[in-house]
Amino acid sequence: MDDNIKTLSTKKVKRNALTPRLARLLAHLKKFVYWLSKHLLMLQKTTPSFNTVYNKNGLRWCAIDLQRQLLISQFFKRGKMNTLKHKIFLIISSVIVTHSAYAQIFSNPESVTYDKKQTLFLFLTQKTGAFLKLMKTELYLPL
Amino acid sequence: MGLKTYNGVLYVAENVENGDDFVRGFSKLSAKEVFTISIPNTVQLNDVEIDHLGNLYVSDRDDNKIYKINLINKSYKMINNTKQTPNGLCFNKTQNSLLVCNTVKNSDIYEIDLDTNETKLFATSDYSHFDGITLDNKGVIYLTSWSLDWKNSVLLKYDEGKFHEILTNQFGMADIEYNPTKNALEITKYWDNGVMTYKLN
Repeated sequence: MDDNIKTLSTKKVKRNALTPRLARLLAHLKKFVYWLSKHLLMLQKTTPSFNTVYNKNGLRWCAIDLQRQLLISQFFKRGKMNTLKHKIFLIISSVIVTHSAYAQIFSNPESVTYDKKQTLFLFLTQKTGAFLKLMKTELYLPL
Repeated sequence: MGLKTYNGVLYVAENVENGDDFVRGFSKLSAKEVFTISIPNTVQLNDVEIDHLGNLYVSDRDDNKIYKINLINKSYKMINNTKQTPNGLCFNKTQNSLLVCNTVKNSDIYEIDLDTNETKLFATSDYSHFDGITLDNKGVIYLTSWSLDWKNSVLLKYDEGKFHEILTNQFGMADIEYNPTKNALEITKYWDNGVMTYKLN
């Protein structure tokens, strides 16, 4: 009887010893899956059709020139915007965008809509204005 | 210059100066153009709306017309040419109708029966330059109105036969859309280069 108890006890100790390692392994696995999914998602978002620009504020802006001076842009801010699960797609009419001009082109939004994922889409109409102002201070003001 | 998403595609009305206007669709995933239709003799295509069957409606503000576009076979037909300066469009599913606001000195709301294309006056107002129009989940209509000099804008609520002013500012509130997930209005601020979310009670 004593031997049986001892055997059981040993097995329990072994299981307990494995648990922290298993937990660490699972934690690493979870991080890896998160990292992988994040980068796969990023890869999906930055399909070659988009020109992608990152700026200092962690905002990503993507644009494509569709040869008719019509352009789709996308940006989102890491952190707050991601938490809110918001992305912004922008369409700019009659503007050809170069990477160096991105800070000055997003202005005069005229139309707005969103999709089921709560992605917001804007139609912007003018070339002058302040892109950074739009992003940093004026989005999603809770009233 | 409106836009609307449907089945993974972002549809946009494109105003071409001195030429026929287009409605284009872009894949949200790849940004590739997946839909194009040109409507001859259009002057300024403006707002875009899509009904529950996938028909797209677009207003030609400067030619006083409203078109219905079949997104599957890429055909179109004009469903109204009797109202001056039609601008904002909003599909009313419960009535299978299209609400239209126009941009004149004393702007009105019209309703087009989408079964018959019959158009009737829905509401008259003393407000100038209606721009965006939307419906919340209770059937209350919200609109934006600009002053005659396009400097001030008003957010209006139309409920029980009356207009109520909600907000007045110089942001240039233009297009507007009800977001049921947030129970809020998404409003573009034309002069202020931004978008605001107005929470409804």
